[in-house]
Amino acid sequence: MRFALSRLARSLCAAVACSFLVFGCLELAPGGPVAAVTRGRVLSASDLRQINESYGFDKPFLQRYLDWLGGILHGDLGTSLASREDVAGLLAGRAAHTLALIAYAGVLVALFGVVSGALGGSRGGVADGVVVVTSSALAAIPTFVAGAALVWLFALRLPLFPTFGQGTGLLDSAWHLTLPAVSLALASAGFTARMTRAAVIEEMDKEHVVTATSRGLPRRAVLQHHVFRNAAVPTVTALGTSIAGMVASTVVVEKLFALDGLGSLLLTAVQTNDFPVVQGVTLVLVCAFILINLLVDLSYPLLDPRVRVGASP
Amino acid sequence: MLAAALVAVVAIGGCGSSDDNNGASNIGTPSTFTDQTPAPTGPLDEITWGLAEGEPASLDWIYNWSYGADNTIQANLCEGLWRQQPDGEITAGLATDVKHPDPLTYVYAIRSDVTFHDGKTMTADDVAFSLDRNLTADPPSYWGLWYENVKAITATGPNEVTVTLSKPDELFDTMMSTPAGYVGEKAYIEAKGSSYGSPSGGVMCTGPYKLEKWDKGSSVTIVANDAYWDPSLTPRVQRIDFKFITDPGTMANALLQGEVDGAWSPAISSVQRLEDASSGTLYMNKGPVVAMMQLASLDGPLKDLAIRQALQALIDYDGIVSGVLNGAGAPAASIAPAAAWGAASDIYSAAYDKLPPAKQNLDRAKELIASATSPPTRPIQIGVTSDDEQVLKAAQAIQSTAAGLGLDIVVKVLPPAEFTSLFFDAKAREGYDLLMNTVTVDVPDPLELYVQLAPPSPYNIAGIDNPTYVDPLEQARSETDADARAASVVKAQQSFADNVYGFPIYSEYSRVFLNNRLTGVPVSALGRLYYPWAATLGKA
Repeated sequence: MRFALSRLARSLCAAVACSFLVFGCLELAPGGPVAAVTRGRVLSASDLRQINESYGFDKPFLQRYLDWLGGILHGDLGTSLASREDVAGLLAGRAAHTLALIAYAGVLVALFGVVSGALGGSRGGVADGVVVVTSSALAAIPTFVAGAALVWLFALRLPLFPTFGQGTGLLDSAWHLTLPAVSLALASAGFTARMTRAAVIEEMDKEHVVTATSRGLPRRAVLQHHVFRNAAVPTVTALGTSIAGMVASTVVVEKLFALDGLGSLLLTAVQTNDFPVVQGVTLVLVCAFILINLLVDLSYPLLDPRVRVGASP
Repeated sequence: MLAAALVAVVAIGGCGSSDDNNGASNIGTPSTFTDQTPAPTGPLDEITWGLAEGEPASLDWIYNWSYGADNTIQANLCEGLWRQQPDGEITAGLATDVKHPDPLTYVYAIRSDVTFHDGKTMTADDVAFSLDRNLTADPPSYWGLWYENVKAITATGPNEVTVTLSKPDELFDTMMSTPAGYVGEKAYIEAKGSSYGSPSGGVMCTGPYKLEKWDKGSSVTIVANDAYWDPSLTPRVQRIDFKFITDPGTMANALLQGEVDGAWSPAISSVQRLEDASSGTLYMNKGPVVAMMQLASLDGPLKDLAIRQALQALIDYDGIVSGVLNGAGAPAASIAPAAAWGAASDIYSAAYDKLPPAKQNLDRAKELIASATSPPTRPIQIGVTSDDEQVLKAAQAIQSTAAGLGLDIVVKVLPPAEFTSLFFDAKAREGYDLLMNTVTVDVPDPLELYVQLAPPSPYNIAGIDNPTYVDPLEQARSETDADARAASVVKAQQSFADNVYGFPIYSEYSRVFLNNRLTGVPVSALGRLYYPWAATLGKA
């Protein structure tokens, strides 16, 4: 319990620090928020003054930050400068889309990364060779290259999947999200496979595993109770890092497949200096990142009882 | 005018454009270079249309002036007092007639048979209210600069609206064919307040299509307005689903696979692929959008006219058109090319031939540089927006030619928002001599473009105030006769060119891709923005 509380407190501090960074960095961005209100138009000096006043751009930095932070505590993320819509409303629908994409990709990573890594690490031989080569190759492919290649192959040459879009309903959405999720998952799956494999091999060499094997315990029992159980902590860490990393990669994938998620919203908002939206999306992404890491942290005591008594995992 | 068109060209996996056949070879063939696609043969239930600029920020037209997704959709939902035909003619719209008893008064006769999409009848009150928003809205209307000479807008009868000016301004009436003259329902707009034009607030207009659904982030759906007042524009396509596809490669893929039925202005980098498409046809036509370098300062290295003339002469116009545009455009000697001339095209055409040609002349450029009395003491600095790949490549081409003649140019690439801020932040603009992007007229009258580069327009950042340029514009603005007005504008245009107050480079062709099952739309970049183009579509 104390472990959980201390991790939670740490995460909260990180979130507040990030909120200040996000707000402060935009303050330094060239162009300023007026460009978002006028959306590329040039207005007369008096019109510009009117905008600066009615949007409060002329207030001091700290006051605007505290106003914004206060708003967040009340669930108010502000109003988009470009569309004059509630930022929270803009985020809500899109967050679900991004979540679906990451969840789909996360399942793929867990399925292929963890399973192939465990297989390669425990089997050795040819199977391991195949896992090492494939996972190294996959981990090296940038997401946008993977996406473009997948579209070319599975949407243009073999028209099995659509080239873009979100889809409606469960089946149609899954069909639409397959190529994006695979592009997102490939590199992470490679990384996770390598980490899992390394963890399994490390455990295989441990004394108690060798002892258990030499005492004639069935291989299956040895793997299940001694190898995989102990390899779980580094594997979950790798999986968590992968999924957290995918949060950032959604920007690329969502643009490439014209998906209406947080990533594409962020991209548009950055291009138009729509600061409240940039702040809102960044904050949500940062919180998602922190949350994933928190969940990984909290899973340690469940996976490894030693963590509960204070030893480091 | 400054079309910071958000064709975001973030090169993600960019489909490498192959410049191997030197451009223009198979572009602009007679069958696909046209101002009108073939007439449709029948109705269609539903089509999908791609928007390369992404989701509109708003559908409230007083905040829509982006030459992008917002105006493209809006053109089918809402309409103004006049209608701008794709061929440049201005005809009756929601107004049937105007009386102009003196230079300061316009009395518009408003149609009595028009209903809004909710069935309520449009009245003179709605018209006066809608026009007045351009004067009073907060935040201010982007189209407000066309109302700077307006004193009062009053409903003077059940079907009559009178506009009184403080100073003669012939452009005011012309601009009634753009969103500056759009009419919405007063009661609806007042009820919606600041949410008007948003996904939740919607719009209430009179056009041939009505807004059915705006699915935030993913699509806008419009459906045919069965009660539309103009039988010549009765929609044949019942429902149009607009999709937001900002990646040029993804847009091309979607068009090639038939997942999207049509799109305006697909990226230049996709032109070659779309020309070879079996799923549909890419139509092109001359266009009003011009890439130009605008003077940011007359005090720096460009203060010497000879240097400006040298720069004008050294640009490899033909090379840029074939190499950068892949032939999908033409060299431009004026910021108002043929597609912008409108009714007075004879006068503009004759005047165009007298302008310094858009033709490279390196010998003349060398002579001019040698003859300069105050040659540059530092490099010429050009600011370019990063969202237009072609403009950026053109700037780099000019830079390399100039370097060959010993004229140093620095090209600074800026994100769109930062680039825009250069126009209203004099401090951020310091050190810049030229700003380069695309510009276009909004109405078929070049006067509209030139007055924006003269005092008191905020776009006139170099502070151009030469009487040989400004005086004829002033005259033109109060000239009621179209030909006499054009005669004044060409004087100003000649002065603009002689003094090299700007560097037009090329005009982009208007472009539209249509799936094989679809046809009927005029190939016009202005029509796409301000004419109910969707009502012309139908089954091929």
